[in-house]
Amino acid sequence: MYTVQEVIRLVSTKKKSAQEIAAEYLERIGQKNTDLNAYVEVYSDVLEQAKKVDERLAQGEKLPLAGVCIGIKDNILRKGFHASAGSNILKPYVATYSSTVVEHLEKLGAIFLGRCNMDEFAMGSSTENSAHGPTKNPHDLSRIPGGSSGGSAAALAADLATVTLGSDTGGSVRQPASFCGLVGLLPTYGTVSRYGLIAMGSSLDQIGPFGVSVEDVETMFKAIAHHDPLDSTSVPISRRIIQGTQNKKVGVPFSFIEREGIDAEVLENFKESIDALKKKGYEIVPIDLPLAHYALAVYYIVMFAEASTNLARFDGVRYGLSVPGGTPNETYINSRGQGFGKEVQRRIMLGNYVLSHGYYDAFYKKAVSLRAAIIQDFQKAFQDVEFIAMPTSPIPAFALGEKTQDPLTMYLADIFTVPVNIAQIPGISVPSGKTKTGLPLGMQFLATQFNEAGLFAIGKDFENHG
Amino acid sequence: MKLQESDIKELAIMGRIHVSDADAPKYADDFSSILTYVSEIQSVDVPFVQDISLVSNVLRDDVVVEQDFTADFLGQVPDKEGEYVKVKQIL
Repeated sequence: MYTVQEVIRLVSTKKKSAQEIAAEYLERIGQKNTDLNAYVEVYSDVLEQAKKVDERLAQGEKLPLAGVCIGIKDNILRKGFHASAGSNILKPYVATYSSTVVEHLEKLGAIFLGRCNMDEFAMGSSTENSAHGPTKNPHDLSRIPGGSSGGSAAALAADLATVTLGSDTGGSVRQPASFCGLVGLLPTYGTVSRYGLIAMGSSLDQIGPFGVSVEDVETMFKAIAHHDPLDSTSVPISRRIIQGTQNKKVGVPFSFIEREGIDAEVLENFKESIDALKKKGYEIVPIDLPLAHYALAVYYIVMFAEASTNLARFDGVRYGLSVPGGTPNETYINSRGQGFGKEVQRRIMLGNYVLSHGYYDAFYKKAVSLRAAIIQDFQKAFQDVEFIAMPTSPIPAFALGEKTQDPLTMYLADIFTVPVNIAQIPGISVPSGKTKTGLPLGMQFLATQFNEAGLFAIGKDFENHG
Repeated sequence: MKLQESDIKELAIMGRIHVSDADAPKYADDFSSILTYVSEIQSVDVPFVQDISLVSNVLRDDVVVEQDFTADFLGQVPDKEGEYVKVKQIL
């Protein structure tokens, strides 16, 4: 398994060409992907891309990511190739432009291997909700890899890419990273361009990298964290100012963590992780996040509302699946009815519900007000501590089919990841060990806006604790 | 909070999707438990906030950039005639 630094070293010292590295990944994908279903498409031009990288190097071009092979989530556009967001409604769609992240990485010499499976429109925590079928966890094929970026996590964990990209709306990078034994980052909202990312909850979505080490994730983050005039929520570099202390203090919201039905092994592992941090010179401070418990309810209301609004664009008229009816309205209903899966339809209807006259005040308006209060909760906590630590997920990877019948139990698995998106702060999940049966667990660190550098520092200290 | 099958049908119409008679009871059950869960926020007393400053107006100069997407975009259209998107008669 290569790290990003190893690939860069091999290619820059001419020990291996980009084409040789890419060919190795293609061979492994050929051997393993049928069982895992991590990739829904391997791009037809991988070796061509690699050849171009080798040619650019031969011409003396400096390529900081030369030969690094990347899998991208199926909701990130690459011009001329399919992007379906795991949905039947977009199965025929071919991207007419490339996302900003893809353009940045291409310039730096990266190679795109293919698109990775995901829950439809990123709605799910298990990658079972996909029009391309479920993805399996490489650590145990009877279990899910997490979600919604489960394909990206499974591909990397099975050594089918050097690094991968996912998107995180409520934990969709951090939770699969923890279930697959990887590092996963949710960057501060607005640091990575969303241009060319198929939208779910626009005030929550952010593209984030998966890596086998904190260093790899850091390298990828630096490669994609630019201001983009094409994304109006992209934060200009001059405004990316860290407001908070840098004092190596770690706040732990013990009462929140212990309240939420956490698995005993996860809790034990978390306590061991806290001890490891102390040995690394971090001071542990119990903190109170009194409203954190409500973040999940707030998250679902806001996300339903934003998702139903975003998905209104799919009409069966301009692109994607079209199932014609006798009138324009019938065409919409047929195309959306057959194109969207059950969970997507559920969230569209719930979004319409919470935004409806008569319910808007009690649900959407109240959720937005509570979101403001939760943000203040975090700001208050960060006056004294540089970091907050929590388990990434209250449970380890669950069995395929275990939570598909009851959507609410699936939602509850996101309890520790969603508050971070609600507050628009960064979070990183770092492997923290395994359960007795060998399932990976993850430790999550949070920081104030734009303090990714702090997260990489604590992540590296934690990663090397023994 | 209990939703009826008729509520589901109404929400489906608003969302331009189709819910079959067979699926409606399951949606009604799911929605009842989800809405009951998220309703817990109503027990918290927080000041009403209109704008949480998550968004601001972002403006840029209106400069023409010459780009030709016509063929790419039309290539995606399910039903067309020449350079026009074809839809069923509206009136």
